[in-house]
Amino acid sequence: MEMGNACETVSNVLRAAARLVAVWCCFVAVSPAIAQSSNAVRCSYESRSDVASALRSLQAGDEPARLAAAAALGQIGKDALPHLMATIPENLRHNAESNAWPAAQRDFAIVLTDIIRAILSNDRQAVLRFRQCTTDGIIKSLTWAARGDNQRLRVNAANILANIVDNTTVCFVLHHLRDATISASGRANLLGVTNSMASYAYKENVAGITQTMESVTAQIGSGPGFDQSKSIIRDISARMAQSENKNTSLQSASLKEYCSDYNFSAGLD
Amino acid sequence: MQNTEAAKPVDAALKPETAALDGDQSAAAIQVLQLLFTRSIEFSRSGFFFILLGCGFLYFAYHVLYHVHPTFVFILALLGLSIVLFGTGTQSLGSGEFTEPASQARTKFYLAGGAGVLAGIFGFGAVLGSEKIERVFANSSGYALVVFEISNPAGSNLQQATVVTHLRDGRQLPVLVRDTSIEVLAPILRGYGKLDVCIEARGPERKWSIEHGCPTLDLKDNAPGQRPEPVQSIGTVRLDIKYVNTLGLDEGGKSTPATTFIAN
Repeated sequence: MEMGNACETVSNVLRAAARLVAVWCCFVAVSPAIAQSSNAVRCSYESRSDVASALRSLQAGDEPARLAAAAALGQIGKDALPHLMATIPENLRHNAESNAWPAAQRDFAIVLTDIIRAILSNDRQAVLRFRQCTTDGIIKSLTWAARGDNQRLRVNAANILANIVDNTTVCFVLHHLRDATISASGRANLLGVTNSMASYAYKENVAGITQTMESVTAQIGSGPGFDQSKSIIRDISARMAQSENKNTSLQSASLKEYCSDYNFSAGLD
Repeated sequence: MQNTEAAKPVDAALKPETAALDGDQSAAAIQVLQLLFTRSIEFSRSGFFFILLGCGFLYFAYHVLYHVHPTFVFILALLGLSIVLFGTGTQSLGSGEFTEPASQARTKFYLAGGAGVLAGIFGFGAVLGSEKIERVFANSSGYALVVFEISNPAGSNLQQATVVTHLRDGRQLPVLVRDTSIEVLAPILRGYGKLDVCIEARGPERKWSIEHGCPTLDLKDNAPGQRPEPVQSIGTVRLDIKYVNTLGLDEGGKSTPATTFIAN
């Protein structure tokens, strides 16, 4: 009888241990996803099941489901931005050959940037929310896309960057502009992005932009063509000259990250 | 049977009278026909006949107004009017006779009739105003050429645009995209002085757009030589391209000078 009770006790302990192991396994399986999404953006945000569901439909659904999901995310607006931004580094590769990406990944990247572009359009709060949540990984991914060889993705990414790049992130864009292998379309796009923040550039960025413009001018030379790039360069110089912040350092304005000590000589990643 | 047999002699007695009666009736009919013919001839010489004939021509001109060339309509109307005037008695303006009292010689003169004079005047007018006649007698329905002149400072390629144009009632309109303008053919009725045409256009990848709107255009007659298109009227309006603008916000959310951004 005592033996029977002991066996039953051992059995119960084993069952409880098995449950504990199962719960732990579940936690281990889920925890990387939670950590990933929380690391992917800098801001805290409320996890919404409708946004997560729409994102799943966007990735896996058929065309009508994807359209419905895109419309739903657009309706949710800026509250969906952190979720959407978290997927950017995962789905936008760090190279300019976007036409060579797997088709499903490229198509998702186009739809994703389409939605973000629509949310940012004419919405000040959405632009500020994006800046609050953005990371270097997101800006780098979008910068590669804005100079890539897929036109739709390039235009979407450039439009997003033109709205969200500021003194804290323009150095990533300038770094790409110094790359001699950049395409003419990519150069024009990134010059346009730089132009959008030149009127309030701080001291370090004024120096960075000036050096970059010299580099770009040397790249395109004085020959014919590149009229749009040359026109934007003139506009950037004029806007930068009128910046009220041109003599103020980023550090004194508490804008140290990421451009205060940016290393332009490092390789592009 | 008895009745039939009895009736035979009676019929035989009536036959000569019937023949005489038939002869009278034929003669009367001929007389009636002759009378009708005579009256018809007389009627065809009367002024009322010419009024009716002229009205017939005018009605015919009206009937074929939408189906034949305006010049033919003009000739029919002119002919109808002339015949009506002839019928009303204006066929002769007057005549006179000069006679020398001491001489047997007489000089008679006749002035051309009113219809003839009018026909001459109309004919002369037809030569002088041949270009305007076509417009006067043209169909009352036709097309207006609506020209949207596009203000395009960045030199965006309009030919790549997706353009939708329609009337306020929803009818879609054919559209021609040129280098600096977008042109539309809109159906109109004669007498239209103003027309609302709705337009919306988007550049490739939504780089730029012409926002949806239904501007009211003042239509002017298509003067000969102005435009080669066979349209009655022309209306022109200027539209601006809208580019994707950045919001111009600094790190603190303060507004800064916005830029017009044209992604490639």
